Amino acid sequence: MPIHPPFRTCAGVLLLLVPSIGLAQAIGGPLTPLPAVPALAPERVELGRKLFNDPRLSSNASLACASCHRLDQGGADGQVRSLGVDGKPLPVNTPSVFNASLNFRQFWDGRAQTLEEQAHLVVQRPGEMGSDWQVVVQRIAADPSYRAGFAKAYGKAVDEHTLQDALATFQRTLLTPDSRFDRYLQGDTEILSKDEKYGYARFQEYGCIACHQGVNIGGNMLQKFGVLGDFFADRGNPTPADLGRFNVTGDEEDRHVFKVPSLRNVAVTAPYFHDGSAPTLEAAVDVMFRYQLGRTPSTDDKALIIQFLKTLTGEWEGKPL
Amino acid sequence: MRLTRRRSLLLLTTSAVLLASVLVYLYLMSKADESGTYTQARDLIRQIKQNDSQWENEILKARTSINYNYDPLVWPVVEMKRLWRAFESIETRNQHGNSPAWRQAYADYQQAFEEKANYVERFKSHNAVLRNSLAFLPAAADGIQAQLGQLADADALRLHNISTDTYDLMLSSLEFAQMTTDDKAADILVGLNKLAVNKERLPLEFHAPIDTLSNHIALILREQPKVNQLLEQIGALPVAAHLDAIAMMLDRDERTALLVNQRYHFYLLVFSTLLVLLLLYMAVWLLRSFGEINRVNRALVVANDELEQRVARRTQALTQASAALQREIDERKLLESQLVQSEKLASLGQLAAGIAHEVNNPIGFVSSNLGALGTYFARLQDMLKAYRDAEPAIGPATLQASLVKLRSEMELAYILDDIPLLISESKDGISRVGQIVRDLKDFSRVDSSQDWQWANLHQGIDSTLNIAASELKYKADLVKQYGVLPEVECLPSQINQVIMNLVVNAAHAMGTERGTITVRTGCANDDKVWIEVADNGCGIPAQSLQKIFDPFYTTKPVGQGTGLGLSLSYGIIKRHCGEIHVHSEVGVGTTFRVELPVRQAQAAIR
Repeated sequence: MPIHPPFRTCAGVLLLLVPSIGLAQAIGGPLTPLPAVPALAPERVELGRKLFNDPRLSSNASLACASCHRLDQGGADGQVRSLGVDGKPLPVNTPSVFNASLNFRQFWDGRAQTLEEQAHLVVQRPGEMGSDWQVVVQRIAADPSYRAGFAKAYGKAVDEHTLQDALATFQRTLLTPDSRFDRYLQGDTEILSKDEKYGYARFQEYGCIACHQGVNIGGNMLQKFGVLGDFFADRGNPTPADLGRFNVTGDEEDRHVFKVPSLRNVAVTAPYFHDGSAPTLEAAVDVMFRYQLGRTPSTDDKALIIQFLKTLTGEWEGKPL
Repeated sequence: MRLTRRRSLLLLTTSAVLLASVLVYLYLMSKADESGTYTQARDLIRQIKQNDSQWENEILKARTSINYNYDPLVWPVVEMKRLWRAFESIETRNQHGNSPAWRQAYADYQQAFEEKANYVERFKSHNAVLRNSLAFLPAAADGIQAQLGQLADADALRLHNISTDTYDLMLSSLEFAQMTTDDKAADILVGLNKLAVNKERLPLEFHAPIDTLSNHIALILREQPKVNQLLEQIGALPVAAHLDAIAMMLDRDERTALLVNQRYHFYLLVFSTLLVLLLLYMAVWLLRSFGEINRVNRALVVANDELEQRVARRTQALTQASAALQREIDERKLLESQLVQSEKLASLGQLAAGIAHEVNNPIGFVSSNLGALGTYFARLQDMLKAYRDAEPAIGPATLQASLVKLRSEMELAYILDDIPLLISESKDGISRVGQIVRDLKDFSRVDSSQDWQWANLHQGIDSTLNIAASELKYKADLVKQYGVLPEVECLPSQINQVIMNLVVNAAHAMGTERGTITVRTGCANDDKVWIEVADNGCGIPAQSLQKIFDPFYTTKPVGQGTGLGLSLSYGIIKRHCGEIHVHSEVGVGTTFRVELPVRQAQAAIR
């Protein structure tokens, strides 16, 4: 194709820019602020809160949901891998429960479509809570205050579905609005510093935003861990959990595929990744640049991006996480 | 009888229930309930389809824009699942899913949907990294170009070639993104090899940027066909077609249901018409029997009325009889009491007559003796005169003087003058006693009490007035205005009784002031006389006027009047075939007028 280089350059740039700019304006920004906390039946929310903190959900009554998903620690526990009911570390790092209802699927490998399903799986998974729903229902139904609460909130006896619904209903209220970045998105452009705004620009320019977008800044797609490099070979010690979605589908294409996690409250939910291998934001950003973007950022750009990420910390019960 | 009634009631109820059930059944079968769920289901399918096309639209957007928000690719999945669940719950109620065709249609759609969701999921992952690399490509190439431009000491031609190769490679990659062909892929592979060769010829600081560029171009080479393939697969999935098929099946079922509905509608119409006819027939029948009942009812009412009238008549007759009896009893009582009164009066009269008769004898001899006494005294006077004349002839003067003295002491002259006066007054007195006795006899007529006789009424009235004089003289002046009356055939004592009553009543009517009682008589014509007793007393109030002749009616204090006076008088006058009228004005006076026939008809005299 004999085209003169400068012209071809122009053509190439045009080819790329025209549709992208045009459409970028048309669809608006790829990030959107958190919605308001939904108004759900207060009795059910309250039951869910109680259950969330109730260790009777685990086989030996040692673990509650809140044991790992600590609402005072960003909805996780800061551990690389939390300890299960048997005292052994779980296969993957504990993700935050905050804003989990906005994730399109639950778990790192996207096994559960809903929060109810997530609760269902966690409770009966041997290494985690290791219990049995029949046992849980029996224990909860034996408690008169629960019996009364369920009769009032659901008009029927305690069963597996109402328990899961209560838990999920409570978790749907666990949103962390009012992060500085959300307020920026809502029009308060002064709230971010210049560096933070540059950070956001870098975040977009380097393509972080290709996966971390939407209302939850992630959490709405699956992605291969190691697009432009073999993360697992470099890290070593491969585990079954590293296979990611492959463990669910058995599809070779899903090898090392994980749910893209939400970046909301990312500054307070270290360590990072499914294996908890990145203890700091810097380490995590480095890994992302290397294996997902295949690029080497300048030190300044990285620092700007990290500054931007710190603006994503929201509030819960009126206090910053 | 009772059993058959119960049985017919049961039969009636059963048939009513049967008819109602048939009606309800037909109504339910022809109801548009199905179409309600049909439109709902149809709407859900439409919404699913709409979401599907929105989904596809978003996919198109995602494949052309760099900074794309993938949330709109998630929402349709959630929404379509929700809508499908709603659709299924409706259709489960409709029991559509039972037929194999429906099951097949459901399975087809769900499979296509799941596959599509799966493909879209993969599309998202691959598209994201592809877009990233494509966006980065010009910048990466420009970076290398700039770096190349900084190489001062190098071979200009070689550098130009490397630069051109890099550009070509980049453009080929970008073109590959637009037009993914094997030729282009081969071009890019050639370009990549060239770049690898070039890299070796360039200083070490070029290795990293060139590796980066190569990596990204390799990624484009790898991902672009995959994305294209996914898009093709997504496009090939007949989700919309399956939805259309379901919609068509819904339409077909709806049409069938509609036909069935129409049929049942027709049945319902026919059945309703029959029912209406039956009702009309029953209404006519009822009306007729109502007419019959009414007729019988009316007859009964008439009979009843007659009966009542008869009863009323009987009752009236009885009442009348009872009243007559009462009247008779009253009359008897009255008669009795009048009889008693008459008897009393009669015996009083007899007594008076007896006394009068007895008194008559002494009166006779006292009267005659007084006459003789008068004669004898006249003779004594003559004798005494002779003696006085002879006095001077008496010798002794003393004797003479004592005689004179005695005579003056005795007041002889006065005695002699007074005795004849005394005698004549006594004669007068005794004659008055005689008159009283005569009047008493006249009044009572005890001698011929119950005999009809021709009597001078004036005589009777006078004697009656005389007897009543003591009652009258302090209360009223009596004025007599007698006309000329023939003798009248009557029971005089009873007529006297009447006059007595009227006069005494008149006296009683006087107030504190002295009044006047006027007694008038006269002839009405040849065979009728009248007597009026008028007073100027207090009068009788109108309401009392009609009762004054009732027995025992009295205005006098208890014990003073029997209430029989006027009633008795009325009875007496009636016995005489006469009339008694009263005219009274309160405060002016009362006039009683008695009219009597001069001659009694023979029948009345018994």
